[in-house]
Amino acid sequence: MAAGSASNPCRVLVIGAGMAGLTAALSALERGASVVLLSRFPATRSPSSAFKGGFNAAEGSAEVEIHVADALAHGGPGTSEAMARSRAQAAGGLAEWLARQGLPFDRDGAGFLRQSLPGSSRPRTLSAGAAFGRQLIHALDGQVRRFERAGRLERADGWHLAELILDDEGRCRGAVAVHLHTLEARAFSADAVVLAAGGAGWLVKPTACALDCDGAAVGLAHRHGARLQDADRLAWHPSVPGPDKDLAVPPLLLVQGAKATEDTLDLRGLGKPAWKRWGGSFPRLAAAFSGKNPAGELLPLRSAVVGSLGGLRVDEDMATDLPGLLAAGEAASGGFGARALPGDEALAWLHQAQVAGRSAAGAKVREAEPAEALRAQEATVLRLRAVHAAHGSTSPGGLLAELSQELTLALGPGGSLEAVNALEGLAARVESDLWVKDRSLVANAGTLAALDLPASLAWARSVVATAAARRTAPPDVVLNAAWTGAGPRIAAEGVGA
Amino acid sequence: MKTRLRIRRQDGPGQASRWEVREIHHEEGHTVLSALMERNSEVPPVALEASCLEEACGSCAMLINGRARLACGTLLEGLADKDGLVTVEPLSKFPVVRDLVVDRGRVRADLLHMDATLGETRIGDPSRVQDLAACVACGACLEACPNYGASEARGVPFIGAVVLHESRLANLLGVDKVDRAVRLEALMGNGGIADCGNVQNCVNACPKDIPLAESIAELGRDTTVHAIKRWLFR
Repeated sequence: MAAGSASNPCRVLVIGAGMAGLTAALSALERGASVVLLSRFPATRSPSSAFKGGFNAAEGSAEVEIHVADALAHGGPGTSEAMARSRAQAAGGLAEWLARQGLPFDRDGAGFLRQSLPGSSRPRTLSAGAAFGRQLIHALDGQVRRFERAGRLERADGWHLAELILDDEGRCRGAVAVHLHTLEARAFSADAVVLAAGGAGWLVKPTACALDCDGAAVGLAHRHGARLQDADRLAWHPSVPGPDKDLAVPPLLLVQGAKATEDTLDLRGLGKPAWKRWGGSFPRLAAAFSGKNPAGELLPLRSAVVGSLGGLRVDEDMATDLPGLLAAGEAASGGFGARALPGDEALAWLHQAQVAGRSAAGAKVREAEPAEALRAQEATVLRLRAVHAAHGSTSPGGLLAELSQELTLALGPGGSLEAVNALEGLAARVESDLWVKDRSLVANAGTLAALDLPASLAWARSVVATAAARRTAPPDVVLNAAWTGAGPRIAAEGVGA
Repeated sequence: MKTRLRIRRQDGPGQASRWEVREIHHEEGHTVLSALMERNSEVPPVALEASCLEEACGSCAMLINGRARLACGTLLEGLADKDGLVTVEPLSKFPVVRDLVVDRGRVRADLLHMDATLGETRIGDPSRVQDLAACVACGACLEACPNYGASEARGVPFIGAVVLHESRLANLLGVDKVDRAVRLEALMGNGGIADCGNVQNCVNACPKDIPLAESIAELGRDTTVHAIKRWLFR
């Protein structure tokens, strides 16, 4: 084994092509690695493209310390000071890097325009109009395409993560994915893997997250031994109810004068140009979904899930407990405490992604083509066949809906802990009672959902067990969930560690 | 409220399609996507692509009453024709995979082929760039274009408005003059800007109000200037 070289570069597999995945890929490419970027959809369709707001970047060491203090005050006693400081210190360099990639930051006469999101004692949020995520994805995707054209990156769009490849020592050596259109299983071998497949906000209602935020990838890593940290922590945000999901109010619209109470949103104080500049398509869609005219009426509002704050437990190099597997973005824990300081979410995701890409590019290069990749690929094909051969009575969609209901009860206001037992029952039914009616081998979403169910359930059971342990845990700890095979085991860890 | 959806279904690539009519119950504010995702154990679910559900990702572009629209932001109310039907079909310019799922991979291949990539960038007016970078590559403009997917006049298919627009953005943001020249050469080649018929259907079809005609006009000027310079300095 040796570190990568120009003629024999380190091979990095990045799973997920949202803001974290693209950033991790570019970070690894800048350090000489060759990259496979695996994603269910092209980067332009990532849930990141719907992310609004911006990210916090303080200037100068004194301002950085105030930023850290704001993050600690906002997150409460369970916030990781080390993580808050690490990202606050990296923010300035990150902003310069993003500007170089082509991200059109809003500017004023002096340089970057800095706004104050709630919880910040200083204006430090950098933005790019109404659709920060879209602008970010556009710039990073254009940069990634450059490496793709040069043959340094392979884009694997349309692949759904199905299994991790582990070698005889238990080290992660890649992943097996199933193609969304053809259901073909393919092994992607690598020297290091970065999991940047997003969070699980779709499963807890009401939600403002994208359909694809289903936590299955995180659950898969968890089942293979990676601990989850603060898995019960979710981000909630004022949102307008919609038919299929809620619409999160763009944070900058609130900064610019939109008025939110517990259950109403007032856009009347803002002119139409401000609606468009800081709200994008939100005012129009919110009007359509609510049947109200925001120029003259109040819009209905409620609190909805906008993302996961917890995730895979990572060290300062973004390594998970599973050797060879790094995590970044919403898939990783951000050390935010009870609430993320607004504007720190995207900062954490991007910073972690840069670090993860760097760590991955430094992995040892293995010469021989691993036999375990073939084994994992064959195992996936057998699982696909088993799913189609199942003769129970509940569809994967039905089981997922039940899972979502239990999670919502357990994590929503007034949470119920009966969900721990209910989810255990669901897990048993995944083994015994599954039925996939549609056995087509073309674009079969039900089959892929069935394939994900064991991972989704492991994730959900750990989340609910963490929420239960939270009730009696001291406030100044993070809660780690380890998967034992029979179920989750929760342990507290001091935040100073 | 009740609406009848008329859905064009297809089991796999290259297979024959068939119409299916289903009656759905819905409330005020419900969208075409809500209707398509409604669970009904009697019929297999309609295969479709959807993700963000707020017009930010472009996944759920489909033909609704013959026009390319994003299903997640299209309300059912007022859509039914005189027979009480709302017609839903897959985009017609891409190969159908199953039901409403099409393979839009060609757009990404064309972006790569035309070198619509970024390197070192310089941003003049950020709000201008923000407006232009709002394209979600949903393909609505390509659906409306008479030349996209039509007969291949010079053996290479026309790349269409998405890729032309991205190329313009790459020219606007990119600093490298050599990159720019390579891109303009590619755009002057077969399947490039000369195959645009200037019908400008794309502008009206765009759900994101991207100034596509302006992008194409600018590329037209840039390629002309590039051709003259190339002739002068040959």
